[in-house]
Amino acid sequence: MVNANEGSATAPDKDKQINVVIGTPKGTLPGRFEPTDSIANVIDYAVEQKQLGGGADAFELYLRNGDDKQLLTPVTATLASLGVKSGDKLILAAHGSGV
Amino acid sequence: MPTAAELVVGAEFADLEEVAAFAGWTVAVLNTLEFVVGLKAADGSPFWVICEADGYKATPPAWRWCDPQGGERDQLHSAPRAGGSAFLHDSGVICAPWNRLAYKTVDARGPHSDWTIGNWQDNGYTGACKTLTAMVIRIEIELKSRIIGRVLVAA
Repeated sequence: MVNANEGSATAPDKDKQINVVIGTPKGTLPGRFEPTDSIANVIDYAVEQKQLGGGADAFELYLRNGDDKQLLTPVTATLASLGVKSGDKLILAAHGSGV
Repeated sequence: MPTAAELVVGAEFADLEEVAAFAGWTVAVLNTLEFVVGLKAADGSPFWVICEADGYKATPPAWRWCDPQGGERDQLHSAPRAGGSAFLHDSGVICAPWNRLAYKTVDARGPHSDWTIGNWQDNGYTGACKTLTAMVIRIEIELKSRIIGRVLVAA
């Protein structure tokens, strides 16, 4: 994984990197990722950068397509396999089931 | 001097405005402790919910469906219908520990007499939904995924 504030240890191909903005419970966050990064990698990154309590398991990630939202699942899937591309908007949502 | 709730809301509000601009929500501030958020359901129909944050975070805010100006609060025609959702009740109450109205001790429509309002942040169902922005994100997700219209009101 690469992000806007860190260099890559594996010399990634910048042309293939995926630049996204993530809406989180503590504001927005830009991120740059490899196509092979998983959804869990993105969640971990946002939780760490924004110091969100509850840990990664407390969140799920959605892709915003216009007025629609697509749950990005399973978290082991890669960004590329779920069609996430540069310029996409992601939303990090805390689980919060009603009962 | 601002109250504790006003200080907390003030501290969280910049995040909320930032995500609102990002996500396409409308936000109208009524006063230091109340604001109205406009959201769209999956079918594009608009809904508005007012946050009443007096007492936050000692107690959770109250989230009420309303009109765009924050009036006509708790009217069923302003509330979404979600077909048996455990979250968006057809009574018009958002059922979650982070909504004050879910507590029967606060609102007669509240389904829960088994939750302690002062313990809302430690309630397992709250999870990480502990900021105003997190709550609005969750409400929008539910609107996008479960909404099947508005609550039907007999003429």
